Amino acid sequence: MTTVAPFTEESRVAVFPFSRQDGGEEEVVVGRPEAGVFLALPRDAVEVLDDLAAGRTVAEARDLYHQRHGETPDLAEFLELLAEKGFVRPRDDEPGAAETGFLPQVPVRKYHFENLPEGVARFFFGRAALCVYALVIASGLWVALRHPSLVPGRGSLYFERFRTPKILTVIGFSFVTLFFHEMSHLLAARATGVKSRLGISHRLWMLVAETDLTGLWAVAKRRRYLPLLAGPLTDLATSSAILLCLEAQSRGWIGLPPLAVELLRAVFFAYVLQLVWQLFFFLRTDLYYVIATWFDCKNLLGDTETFLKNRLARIVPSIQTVDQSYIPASERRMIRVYAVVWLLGRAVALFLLFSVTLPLTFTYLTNIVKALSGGWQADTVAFLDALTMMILSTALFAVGMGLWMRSLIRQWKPRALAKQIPS
Amino acid sequence: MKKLMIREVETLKTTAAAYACGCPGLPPCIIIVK
Repeated sequence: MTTVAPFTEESRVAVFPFSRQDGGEEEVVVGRPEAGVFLALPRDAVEVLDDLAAGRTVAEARDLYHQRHGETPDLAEFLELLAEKGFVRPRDDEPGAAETGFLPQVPVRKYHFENLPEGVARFFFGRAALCVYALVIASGLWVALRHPSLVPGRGSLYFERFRTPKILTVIGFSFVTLFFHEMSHLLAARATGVKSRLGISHRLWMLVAETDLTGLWAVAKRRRYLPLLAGPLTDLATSSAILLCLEAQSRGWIGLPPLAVELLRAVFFAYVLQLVWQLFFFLRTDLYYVIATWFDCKNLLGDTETFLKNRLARIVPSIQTVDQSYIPASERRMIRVYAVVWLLGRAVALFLLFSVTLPLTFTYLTNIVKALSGGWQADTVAFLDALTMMILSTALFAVGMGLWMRSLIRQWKPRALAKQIPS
Repeated sequence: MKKLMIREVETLKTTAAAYACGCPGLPPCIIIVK
């Protein structure tokens, strides 16, 4: 963290090597992929960075900017923020550089499956593999259209007998499919040379698995889509393969045991729900990122929340407004549209939370307590069923809700780092 | 003096939700219990 402003008019500045990608007409996304730090800068600001990297002093870079654009830039604040983000530092040969207490190095991030060769990743997400996936998905769709009765519905998640082991098996499969989903994102990103991380997080009160693909900002826009869509693509291909198995079974081409068919049908429907989840793009889902990328938005959801707060500030004067005039006009248009999606999505989600989820969870808890109070010996099957339902209906929900509440509380605390230079 | 604005871009974190906590507001048991 910077303790002393380290740049003077005569300073020469060391600029760390950075990636750069077009970020729409007005901005460039620059980044230090090894640290996972990316920023959107106006094109003229990148020219300044290039001048400094070429060995110009701060004063010389300012003069050059003035010659090009007829204005004098405020480089002190600009460089201070870039230094904080680890993009620049005083050159070692600058007098006084060592005394500034200035440590601009940002920590290098650890990534998962870092040693995985890109060749392996390309095997799974190269052209040949994508053709196979497309063929399987097309065949699955063909089966679904020709024999809609074969497509498992929500009833496939209901088991008449041996409920507990079957539900646990399906949940086990669901977690495996989650892992495959996230690994697909990781592999597709790796195939483009980008490293990523797997983790657990939440969207509102919903617990989710996630893959951090932030490094994709370092590659061209058209190369970001496949890694962003790799998870749903795998879900679609796998669920289509399940449907093809069910078709083969119904035609007598293969002989699956009834239990396997029952479980395959349940897993298929779990896939359907996973795919439906991606449609909730009022949250940061895979589809949300595809839309944001398509429209060159750098922080669509965050900027939309700021936009809505600014609107709210019109009726609640105590809310501090944030200047968004520097956001490119095309992004501001998208923010206005997305604000409607943001509001409607949350309204529906909150309505369902209070009208369905919470009352239902309370009912489950009451029933569970009744079943558990009967004791293990009274009715072992009922006891196990109750225990399973408890985990299903409350534990994951409680964890997700806990993470959400924690994030809400943290939002009230002062932010450690400003999101942009205050106007 | 012209300010050169810096914007932080958002992190790209793709997600997947298990059906056990999938649809917003709809816990799995609504399906399992029918």
